Amino acid sequence: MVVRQAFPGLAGIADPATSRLYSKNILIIFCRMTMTTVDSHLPAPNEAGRFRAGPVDVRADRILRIQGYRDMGRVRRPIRRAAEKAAEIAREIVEGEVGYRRVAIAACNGSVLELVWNKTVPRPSTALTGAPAIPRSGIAKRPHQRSPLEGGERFECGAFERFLAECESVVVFAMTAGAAIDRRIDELMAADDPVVALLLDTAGWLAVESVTRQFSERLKADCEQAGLRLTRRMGPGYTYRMGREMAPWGLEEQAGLFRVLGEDASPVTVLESGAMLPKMSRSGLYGLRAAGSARPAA
Amino acid sequence: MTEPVLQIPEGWEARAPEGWEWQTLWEAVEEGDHRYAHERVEQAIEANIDPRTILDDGLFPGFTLQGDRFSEQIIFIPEMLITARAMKTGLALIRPLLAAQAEKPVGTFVMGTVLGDMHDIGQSIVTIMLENAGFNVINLGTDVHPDRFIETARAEQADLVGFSALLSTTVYYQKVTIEEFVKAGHRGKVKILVGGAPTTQEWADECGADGWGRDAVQAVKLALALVKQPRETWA
Repeated sequence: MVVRQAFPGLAGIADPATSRLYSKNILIIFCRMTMTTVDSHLPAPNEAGRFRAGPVDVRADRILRIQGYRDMGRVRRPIRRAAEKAAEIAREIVEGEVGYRRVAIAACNGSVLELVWNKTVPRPSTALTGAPAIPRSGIAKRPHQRSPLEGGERFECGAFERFLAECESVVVFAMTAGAAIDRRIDELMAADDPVVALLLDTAGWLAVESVTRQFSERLKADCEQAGLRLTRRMGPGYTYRMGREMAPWGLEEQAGLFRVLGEDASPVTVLESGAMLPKMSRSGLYGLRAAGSARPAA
Repeated sequence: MTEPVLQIPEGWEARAPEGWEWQTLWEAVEEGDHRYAHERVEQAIEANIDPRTILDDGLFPGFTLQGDRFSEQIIFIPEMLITARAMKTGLALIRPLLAAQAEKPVGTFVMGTVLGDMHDIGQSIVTIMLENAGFNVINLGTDVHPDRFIETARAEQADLVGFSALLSTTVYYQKVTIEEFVKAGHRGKVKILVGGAPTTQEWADECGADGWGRDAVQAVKLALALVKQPRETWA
């Protein structure tokens, strides 16, 4: 069941212990954008929302199938018990949350997507905007020499023009299954119980899938009410098949996506490297196009 | 599919006291009974059996059998971990004795998850398996910058380095890290393995690795083979 809940703000949501632990690495995001609570309607452009997922669908059989077991009748009892324990822990401690923001598409030409959320906001003068994200040895990542976009972000991926064709806006999101599951996995490893730790790790990914499904279903329903359709999900770091060609969206653009989302709207922290905390997290965007569009929904 | 069988160490009786049996320890490791494995290895130490013999004749047969079953996809990672835990329990008792006999590790292996990736369960499993196989493993954890891999490999005079990546979004940094080893002039001094869910042999070839660990068992087999290959020496 999808539970919709408005959030009064972020206070108390972030895990202070985790935040402190990684504070040296955390990107400082200067963007400040307005955040409104969202109940059941798609936010207006530039507005953010929070979605708290309902109970996650994590079952022992699915965990075991992902581990390679096909015949459930032949799974040894201790393994089955460990999978049931992992599923139970996940269902108990996962707190699925999504922070999202609807942003108008300023341009989507070829492989370049421009999102402008506020033309009056000067571009943040942090090292993130121009300098390489990984300065220690000057790693040459994918060529990335583009001029900054005033009051917005510019992304590059060969799949944008096709997948976001006829879209008027996107919903940028960051979702997580919560920090508790990361901590429990660490505790299990420390307690020399790698089997349950492994199965709980798998359970965590199933939880992220469950949160994703709940969020996209809610978004889809809200879009239908607004006469819009949702495209397929895209995200930095993923590669998209374009006929015979592959179109990667570089992970180095993760920071830009989080700038669009805004620090206040995100339940997830992105590190300088592009990694997200909590570990069981996912980021990305969905395009929104008019329901009458000739293009089919993804 | 071939059903693997227990490889009984040839001539084991001659290396054990009269009336000694290993069968129960082989089964304990195979079934993952770490409590019995601990008890039986303690008994073997008390019986003055050479620690190398305990490892080779007592612990390895059950572990190898499960490794072969894993390779044949008869069992999966959870069973392998249960076996590894039993093996580790026994190994913990004999490791100080092996060190006292000046037995050196098979090799030094620097392991970590690449930059941008916070996932460590896979490389933790590989670490357990490598340690069981006799490697000295330095696990750098997750989100490891290439410079840290290089600094550690140099400081530890590593024989092998392993880059794990769970996400298709971060596997690119395996290639980047190998390129950094080349730039630092250390590529010829270490053998490099890559692994993780999105990796393939094709990817390992493309990114310039020496090998691809399809899974934890394969990674150990590969490491044992690669450590014997010639390399440039650390200065």
